[in-house]
Amino acid sequence: MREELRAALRTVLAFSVGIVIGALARPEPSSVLPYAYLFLYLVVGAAGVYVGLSWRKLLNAGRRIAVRGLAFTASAIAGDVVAGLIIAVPLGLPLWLTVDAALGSGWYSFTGPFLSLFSAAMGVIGFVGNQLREDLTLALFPLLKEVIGEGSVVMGGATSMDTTLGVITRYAGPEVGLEGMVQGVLLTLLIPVLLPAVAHM
Amino acid sequence: MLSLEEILYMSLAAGLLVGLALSRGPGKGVRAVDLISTASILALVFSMGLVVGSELISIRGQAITIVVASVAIAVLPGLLGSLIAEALVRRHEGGA
Repeated sequence: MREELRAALRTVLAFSVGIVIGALARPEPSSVLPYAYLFLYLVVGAAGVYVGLSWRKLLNAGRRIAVRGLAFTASAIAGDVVAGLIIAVPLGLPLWLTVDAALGSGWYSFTGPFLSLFSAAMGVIGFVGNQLREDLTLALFPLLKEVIGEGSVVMGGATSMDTTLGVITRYAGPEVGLEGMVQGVLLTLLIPVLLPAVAHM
Repeated sequence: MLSLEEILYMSLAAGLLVGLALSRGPGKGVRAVDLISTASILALVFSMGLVVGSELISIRGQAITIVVASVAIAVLPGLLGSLIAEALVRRHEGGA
């Protein structure tokens, strides 16, 4: 768990240092964005590598685990879309960008930067909201598992294939851990496709 | 000229192929992928911070909305999804 905490702190620090330097130096976004795009492609490419590395484990997982993993993925997407719509309306936020922020499913390093290409405020919401979702999963999964049941794996979203896999396996068992992994892999493949499509609706 | 989406899909597909190739090997390339992934995440998050920082004055007035929306995005989607998933699982296993 310590490594996950260190990784989260590193990204928060990088984000905070960026904000401070950005506020002081006031660079033109158009001079920063070409580099941001390049790093975004690298982050998505690296996520693809991790999915490729897990593929064999998933192929051997068995039908029941695959079916439940698929059900968790569909539930995650349904929950994200409904929640995004519920959040956007009363707060007066852009509807589809808020749905995108929710569809990030905990993948803050993609969602935040992607949304900041459209709006700085939505970028912050996408980043902080999804970072918090990952942190809440790490902290509250044992409680959620008791209150809701195994469906609480959905709280981990895309992070259930890496960062939150440990806590899911520890408190719900290796089979549910594998189901979470199926969900994480599928969401990692779907999010880079869904977010741009929804943003342009 | 390729669009942002097209390059994203190509990056994902290329990464997937590299991952599949690496999964057949002795696993020596995984550490390099970890390094590239960590460095690119930090660089991406930093550059995103630069963009947000440069527009800090314009979004300062939305501070409360941003905080409320961030907390809601952290809690609501995962919670709703979990309840839907649990209902699906119980229905499926109840019917089995």
